[in-house]
Amino acid sequence: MNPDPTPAVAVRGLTVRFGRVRALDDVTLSVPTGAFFALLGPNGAGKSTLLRCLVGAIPVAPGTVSLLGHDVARLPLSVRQRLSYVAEGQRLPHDLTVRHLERYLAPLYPSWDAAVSARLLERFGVPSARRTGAMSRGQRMLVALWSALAARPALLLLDEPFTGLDVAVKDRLVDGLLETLAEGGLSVLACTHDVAEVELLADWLGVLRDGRVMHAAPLERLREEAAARLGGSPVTLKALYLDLTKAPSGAETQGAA
Amino acid sequence: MNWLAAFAHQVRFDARRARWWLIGSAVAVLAVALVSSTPSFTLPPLVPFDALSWVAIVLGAAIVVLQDTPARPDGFLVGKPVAASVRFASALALALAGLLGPAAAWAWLRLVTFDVPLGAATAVTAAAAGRATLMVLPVMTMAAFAESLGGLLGRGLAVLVAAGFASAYLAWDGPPLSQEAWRAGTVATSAMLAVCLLYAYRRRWPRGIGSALAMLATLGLVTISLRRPRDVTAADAAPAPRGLSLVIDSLAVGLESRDATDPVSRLGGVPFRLWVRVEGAPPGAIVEVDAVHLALERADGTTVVPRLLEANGLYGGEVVGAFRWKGIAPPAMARTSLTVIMRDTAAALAVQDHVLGRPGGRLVRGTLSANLRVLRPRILTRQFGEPGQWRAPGERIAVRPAEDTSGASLVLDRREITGWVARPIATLDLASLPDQPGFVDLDNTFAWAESADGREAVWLTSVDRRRDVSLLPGLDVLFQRRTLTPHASSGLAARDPWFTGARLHVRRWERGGTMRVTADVSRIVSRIVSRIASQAQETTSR
Repeated sequence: MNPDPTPAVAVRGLTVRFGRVRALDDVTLSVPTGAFFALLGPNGAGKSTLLRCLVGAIPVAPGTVSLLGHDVARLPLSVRQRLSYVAEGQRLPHDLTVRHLERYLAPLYPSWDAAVSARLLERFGVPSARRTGAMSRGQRMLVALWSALAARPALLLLDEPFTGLDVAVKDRLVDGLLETLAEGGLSVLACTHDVAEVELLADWLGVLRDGRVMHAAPLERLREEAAARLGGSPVTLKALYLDLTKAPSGAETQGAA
Repeated sequence: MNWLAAFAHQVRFDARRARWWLIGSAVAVLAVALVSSTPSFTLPPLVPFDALSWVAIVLGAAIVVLQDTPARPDGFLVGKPVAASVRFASALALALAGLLGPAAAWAWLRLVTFDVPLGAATAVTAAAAGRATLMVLPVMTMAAFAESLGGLLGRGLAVLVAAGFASAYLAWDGPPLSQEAWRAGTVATSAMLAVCLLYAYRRRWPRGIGSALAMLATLGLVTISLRRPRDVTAADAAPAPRGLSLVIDSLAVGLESRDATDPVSRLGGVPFRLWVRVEGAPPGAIVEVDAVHLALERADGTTVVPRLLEANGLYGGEVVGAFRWKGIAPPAMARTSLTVIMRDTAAALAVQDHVLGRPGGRLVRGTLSANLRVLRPRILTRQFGEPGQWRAPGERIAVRPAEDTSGASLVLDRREITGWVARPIATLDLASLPDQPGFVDLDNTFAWAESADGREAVWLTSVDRRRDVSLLPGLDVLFQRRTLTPHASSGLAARDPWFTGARLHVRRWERGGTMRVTADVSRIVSRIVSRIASQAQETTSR
């Protein structure tokens, strides 16, 4: 892969406070174009807050955030049409069907691909004529991911996409993501706890703890470094994550982005 | 997509999402309007449009925004490439369409049925809709902002702001609710609030629509309590139907005898009388003229405001610049006339200036302005019950036997009813009438009773003029029976068979709107000047 020098996501010095609580503390992060960047971290680390800053739901100040090379505070419509965001517990219009949603979403995204849409729906096994309110939680998440991927975005932001889903649904989600990633042109920033799924998808890894980015580097490089620390044996992502979260603060390894 | 295309696209989407809510709100607004209507041939008052639907509009708009705002992190629209202005405009359009639309349509239909011209009805409705939109906008903005704050504080703020706007409007010029509407509204909102509190008590506090319902109930309770029925006052005026005009018919100068003690006469004032008519009133409506002002302009640009001392005999004395007049606009004519008597010091002085040839003394222009209130009729009928049981608490019209049964207590116009005498038969107690906006006009024969066979009618002939009966209900009104009895006999006994099956009709007048009209009296002023000048010359020549 020959990455675009312009990162898909560039965060510099971002700090977010909720009252006295510092949810994000001088976060600096870069997601290379074309990468699947998995941001791991314990509960309350600030992962969702970071994503909400990226989609503009939380004002960015102080700090700067740019998506696809544009300041998030002044994203032109053409750039927003290349972004997709799936929130944790994504809400969907409960009395509309997938077909209704597609009729609404397709005109919004010039890159909407009806063929991809149909293929994803078939892969996900989502009943397109059923109201989303009558769907299970897993099906709703699949619909949310379908709406995000069918738009053929350049950047996909995922917030805990696997939380609360059963194994079968997780597999379908992963398959759909892998299929789309294989087509190229997609950068992903996913905040999650689920290291098993991340291991299948991610090529970059970041660790957020107490609002600070502790590590951010290519996954293979982190594996090699961990393997060296742990005696040379192959390291699973779970072991790597546990090793990284035990590391003392300041051991940042922002990669060669 | 350009902005308009995006707006249309978003409206289609939002309308589909909120279709049941929109249909429900439309049905609710129309139901309120229908419930408040009378079974008679007249149309219901504008209460639903002015009060209940207004509250619903404000709250509905807030609900629309609060349901799924862009600021909500897990909202469906978050991250979607739709401008915030498009989303906001769409929500506003739907709120207005769902709540204001039915109310406006109903109001427009009523105005048209009220024989208001189509253009005028449309203008009135559009103006009211525009005003409602302006009121809704800040509430929606605040609601959207509050949602981004999240939590109870934000929603509480939204409620307070919405309540503030609604209260400001209601305290501004809104009419009181009818007794029925007030009771129904209080019961409904209290029940809704109780249900919400029950949910909260059981820790099943509903999110989304549940919170909105709680807001609706709280605000509804506040606003409805503010709209508790009260005595009707002159300030209870509705938005005006357009199309009325004040027309100067004719002029008479010097009709009043000069009184040496009259301060105006001592100042050289010249009394004159204007006949004014109001055109464009709906058939059968009353046009009430209030707050009349006459302004005259001199050649040097200065304006003088003459005194209006008397008008149609209703008010005398030093009433400066304001009077009230009432009259009937017959259905066939839809016009009536107004007599204004003015003793105008400034005009007289100006005339003197003119006669004496002083520069700048000539009057060049005059404007007569007045507030016109249109009152439409509604006839209430109650059949007399058993004698002695006429007073029915809670009924709109309560009737009781006349306390004064001595008879012949009235001064009748003998030129019209020579040979007839009057017998007091019953008293109409208006104390129960103010449960609805409107009043019984007693200066005209608007109340009458008829016997069961419909042959004999009894008209209202007595009015206690110690009070302004047209606006202060609760006054006893005496009905007189006109008979050919040669002597002024005593009143009918309470158990007189006449009452069996007899009916009482009261034509009640409800507000139909208020508007300010002006008329150019320049020609009249010129005629005043010339006629007074000629009179002065005749006097001088003699």
